[in-house]
Amino acid sequence: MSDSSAYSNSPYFDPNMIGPISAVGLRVRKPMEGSISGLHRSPLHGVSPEFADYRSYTPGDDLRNLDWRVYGRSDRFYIKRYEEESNLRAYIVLDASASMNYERESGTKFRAGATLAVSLAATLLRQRDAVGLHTFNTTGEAHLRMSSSESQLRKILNVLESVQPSGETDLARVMHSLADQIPRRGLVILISDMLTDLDSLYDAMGKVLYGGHEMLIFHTLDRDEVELPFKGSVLFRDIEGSEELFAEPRAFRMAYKKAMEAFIGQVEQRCRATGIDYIRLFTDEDTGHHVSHFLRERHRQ
Amino acid sequence: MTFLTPALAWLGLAAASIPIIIHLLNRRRFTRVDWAPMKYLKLTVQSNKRRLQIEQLLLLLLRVLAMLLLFATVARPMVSRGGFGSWLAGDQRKSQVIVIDDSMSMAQASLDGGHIFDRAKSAAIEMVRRANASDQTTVFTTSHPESPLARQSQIDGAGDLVRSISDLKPSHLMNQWATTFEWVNDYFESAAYPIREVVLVTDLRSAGWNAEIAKRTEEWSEQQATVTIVDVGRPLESNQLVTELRQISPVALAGSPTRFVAIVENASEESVPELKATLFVSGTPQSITVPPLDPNSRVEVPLRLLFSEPGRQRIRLELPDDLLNEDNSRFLVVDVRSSLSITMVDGDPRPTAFQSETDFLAASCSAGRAPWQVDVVRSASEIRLDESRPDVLVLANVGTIETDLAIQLEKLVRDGMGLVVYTGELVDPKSYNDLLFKNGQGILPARLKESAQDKITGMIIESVGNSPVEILTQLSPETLSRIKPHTIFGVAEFAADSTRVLASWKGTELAPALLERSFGNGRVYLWTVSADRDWSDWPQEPSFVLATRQTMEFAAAQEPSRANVTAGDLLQSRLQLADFPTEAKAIAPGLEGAFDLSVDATATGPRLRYENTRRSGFYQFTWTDRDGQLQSDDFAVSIDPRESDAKRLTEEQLDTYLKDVDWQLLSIGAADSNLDNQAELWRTGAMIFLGLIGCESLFAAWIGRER
Repeated sequence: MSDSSAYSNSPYFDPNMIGPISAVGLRVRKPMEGSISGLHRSPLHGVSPEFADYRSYTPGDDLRNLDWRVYGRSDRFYIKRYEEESNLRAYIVLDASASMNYERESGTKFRAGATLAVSLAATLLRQRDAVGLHTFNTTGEAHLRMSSSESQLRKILNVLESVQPSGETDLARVMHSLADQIPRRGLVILISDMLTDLDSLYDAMGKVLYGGHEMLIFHTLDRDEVELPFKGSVLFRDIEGSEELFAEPRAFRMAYKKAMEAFIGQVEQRCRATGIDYIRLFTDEDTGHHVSHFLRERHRQ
Repeated sequence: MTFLTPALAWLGLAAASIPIIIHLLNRRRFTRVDWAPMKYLKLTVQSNKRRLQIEQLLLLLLRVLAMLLLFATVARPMVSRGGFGSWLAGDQRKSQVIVIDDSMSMAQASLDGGHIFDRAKSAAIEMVRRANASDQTTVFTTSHPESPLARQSQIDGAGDLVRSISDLKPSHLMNQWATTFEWVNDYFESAAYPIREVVLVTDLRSAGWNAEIAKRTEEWSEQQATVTIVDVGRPLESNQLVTELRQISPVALAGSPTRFVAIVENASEESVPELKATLFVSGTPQSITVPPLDPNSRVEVPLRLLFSEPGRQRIRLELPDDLLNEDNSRFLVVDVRSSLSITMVDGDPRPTAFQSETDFLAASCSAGRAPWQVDVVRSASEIRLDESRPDVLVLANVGTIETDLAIQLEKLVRDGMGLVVYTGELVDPKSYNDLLFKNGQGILPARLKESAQDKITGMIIESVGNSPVEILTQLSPETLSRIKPHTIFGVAEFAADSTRVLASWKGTELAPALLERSFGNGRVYLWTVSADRDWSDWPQEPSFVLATRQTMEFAAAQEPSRANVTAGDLLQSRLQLADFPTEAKAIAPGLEGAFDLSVDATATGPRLRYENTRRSGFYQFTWTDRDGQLQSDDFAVSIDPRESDAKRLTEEQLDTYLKDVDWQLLSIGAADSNLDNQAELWRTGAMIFLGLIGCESLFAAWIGRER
């Protein structure tokens, strides 16, 4: 991977996030079909595995691949990597609708999402996995083809820096489209606030899953959107439309919070029911820590 | 509902819009937020919309109500008692005393044809009806405080009480409000409940209100009693009244003209033309003309009446009807004698005519056609006072007084006999001083010194009023200057009280000529000159005749009769010790038939007594004496003219009398007998306001909590 100093001027490159995530790595549970030998199990059988190199042990790795001789010599754990391990093809789908532009002190959801996308991309590229990027809203889409090259991260950053969140959220349409576009099994990572028609979305995600893909949803929200911390009277304007609503949040804050938690719970529940890995992230949290913890737990399963 | 300060109530209406304005203004102050999860926000707002609207509306309503109530309370609302108003006013059990003013002035005619007292009764009935059944109510009239119509009763239905009030008639008394308020305090002493209220239903005339009242009402402020004064009165624009009817002649004799005077007053701002009054003498009417009267003036109407029969005669003077008829009449009973009996004791009898002490006196008393009976005795030992008592006993130059005679004279004078003493050279001062003067405790007006010669240049008539020699002032000064005795009897100290000098000698210094002393029911006159020509030539003067006759008349006149009294005074007849009356009855004006009379046994004899003189007119006692003979005694009761004073109390004056007392004045419409009930609501309003403020704060905190 290129030196991180080359990306330091990008608002979405955060080494503090990349570090913990990369240390854990990103794996899939299902056998993947990758173009080069990678970290992930291949669905293809009948090929003798040849030793390729070592990599550091991470908790969750298969102990059968642990090189005990190296351990005996160095007192460190290393995993043998074989030629026949397939690489992962990951599609990062980032919601670029206007709702992702909600901004408070911790920055916009889009920034948080984009930073996460870059961190995940960096992790995957480090794993010599291929990663593509897809951003979308109703006014347009930006698509970056799958690649595991070293320049892919720069390209991802360029795309993200050129995207201006706007328009409405139509996740279902995007997922439908992706399900048709992705030729081989891969990992679809959705980063979104999920403020869309869930029924349509899950229909579309079902299609993706049917295609043998594995899905991972990073549900990105601003804490304000759950807590509704406003005092006094507020004129709420629909960030994706023209609708306005005058209200005094204090009078129904608890009820709103319940509604949002119910929404979040519904998203999570439906993800679990469909075998989609799900994590909710708030923009004011230490995303790197949360995501690395999540991935570690995920790898254990 | 009405308000004592309506302007504040209107201001409150305007102020009630303040919370609404603030509410609307608040909607202009808000934060704009671009919001992503609009769907969930809308869902939440929608599902809570109704609740939120109701809460906001309730809060706004509470605030508007609080503002309205604040101003309404400060504007002092008043509401009719009874029903909801009574409940609102927060009636609590109270001890209430309702005083109905039934003094004479309440008989004033009112515009609707009735009397002010009718309005008072309506008002009192209204107050009684509005009393809660749990209240303790006492109702009494000012003329009969000791006999209340209801005493600390819980009025339920009030039928009997209402009837009693309806049957009331105004009295002819002048009310003394200090006494009335003492009765109120007496009733409050045994009141069951701490909340006390006094209701005065009155015409607010100032008569009877005095500084003593403030002492009585001090207790009310201590007890935090409230006073409601229901003013049923109205101004009295025009009123004429007889303020006095009085006998001028000292003695009324049958067959001899007796002089009276009536004083008529015009208590109005307009002149009154000649009035035709009616004078009833023993029931026989005769027309009397009262001269025209200027505004607020009075006139004396002289009357000369001739009584054909002796005995107690009734006289009534009545003016034409006006707005207050009760003071148009005045009553008088007169004791008419058949004759005036005079016994003269001649201390120095002489055979030659007009040389004795009593010759000139007897001649003076025998002049004219008046039925005077004059007896002359030649010595004090010849007096037979045991057998018959004369109207007047004259001692003319009687030298010494025997002890028995002195004792007898004192008793007889005390009982009403007149005594006239003429001095002379034979008079022994020591005897008179020891037995008749008795260091000022006896019947003689002054201590005698010695006779002495003096250069007298005339007689001066003293301006003391009601004097037998006052008539001499109508004579020319030369006439009086011809009365020049060369010798007079000197006097030293006067008797303790009721001694007057009616005339003086103008000599080297003034010396008393005629002295008067009232003793018991009788009078004693002392001339310091002789009745004959030994000391002066005055007996030859016509003025001597005049002075002598007047002296005899005044001596014969008794003290003002107890038969003529003011309404409210006691009537009594004192009888002889041995005479115990049976079947004693009284007849009173306004009451049908005769009713039993109280008889008291006193040290001096039985006494018939009657206290209920609340109406003016003629009263009569009748009884049977020990000989079985029917006896009677007449009385005349007249109103106190002060009660006719039309001046009404001002609120400032009421404040002075009811200092520190929580009082309110209610008025009653001239043509409307319904009470303009004014129960104050400010306390209730204040309590509700505080409650509203508390509710508003709690409610605002409750809906403002996080939900």
